[in-house]
Amino acid sequence: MSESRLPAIVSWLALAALLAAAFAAGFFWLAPAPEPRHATLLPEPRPLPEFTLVDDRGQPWTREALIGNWDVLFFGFTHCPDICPATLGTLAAALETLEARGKPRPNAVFVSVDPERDDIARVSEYAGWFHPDMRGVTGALDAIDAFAAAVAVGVVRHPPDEHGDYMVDHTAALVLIDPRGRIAGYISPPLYHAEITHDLEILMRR
Amino acid sequence: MPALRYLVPALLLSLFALPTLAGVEVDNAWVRAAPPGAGVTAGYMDISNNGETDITLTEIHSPQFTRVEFHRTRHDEHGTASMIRMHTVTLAPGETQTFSPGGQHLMLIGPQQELGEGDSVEVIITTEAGEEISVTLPVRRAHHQGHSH
Repeated sequence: MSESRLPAIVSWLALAALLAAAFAAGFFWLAPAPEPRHATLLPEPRPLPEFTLVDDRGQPWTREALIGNWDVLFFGFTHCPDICPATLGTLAAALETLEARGKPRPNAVFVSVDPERDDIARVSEYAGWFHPDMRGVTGALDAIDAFAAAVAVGVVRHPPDEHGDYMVDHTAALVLIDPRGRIAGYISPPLYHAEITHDLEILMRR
Repeated sequence: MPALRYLVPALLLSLFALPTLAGVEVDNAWVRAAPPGAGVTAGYMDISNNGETDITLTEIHSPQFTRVEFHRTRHDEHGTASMIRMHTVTLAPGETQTFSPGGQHLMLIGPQQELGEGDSVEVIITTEAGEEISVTLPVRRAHHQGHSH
């Protein structure tokens, strides 16, 4: 009888050891990653279609540019007095903080939705003023609109006022692109320096 | 020198009179330093009516800009930002209206010259009653604001 019980105990012990190991593994490896505080992540990242815009050196800016690194896109225009500079300023400050902490940073890209007034030189100077590594891109109107639509950014251009000035309504969220060039999520306004920095730091670890 | 005896109180009186001109008080005024060639920027402030009656702000201009307008950034349910021009701003007695990033702002169009940190912008606001309120807004890079949230 004792001969037959011994193997049973051994197998129970083995099972208990296995469970303990699995639990430990789960605790260390499967513990949920810290969640963003402000960003909304898509349940499944969404791939982008092909597109061709123009970067700040006048070179084609395509989906390849978004592969291999996290990118934060902001759509706006340089004749925007409030929300565009406020957002780009906050994003630039977050990049500086990550830099100061020695953390990896995403690429930051300002996409002009107003190619009529924003040429390459203008978007490049504008974006670079907020942070030297921030890039400005523009392109043909149709290409910009198609790219904006692909990332669910709405653009509405208004007719000019009596002074010939016109406004462009646009989604004011930051668009987060993962290193595989897919839409990972959004950070919607109001944007605060501490929250953006926190969320970008977490995303960069993924 | 009997005149001196009146000069000092008169100067003091004029100092105290400045902030309560037309019963309006302005705090936290600043203008966003804009990238070179931006052509537009925004001004912000808290403006209060310390008087007993409504005050309506009808005109605003600055010698340093082609035009100045009262604007409001509106965010719709889809996250789209649009700008609405406000032709007048009315302050009820005791009311403070906040002009701050992402909300109400002064839209400053067509700078006469590039403005950087350390410069200041003078705006003159006219009320419906015809009074003029002069406000000085220092130019700042908004970065430094980011940490106060």
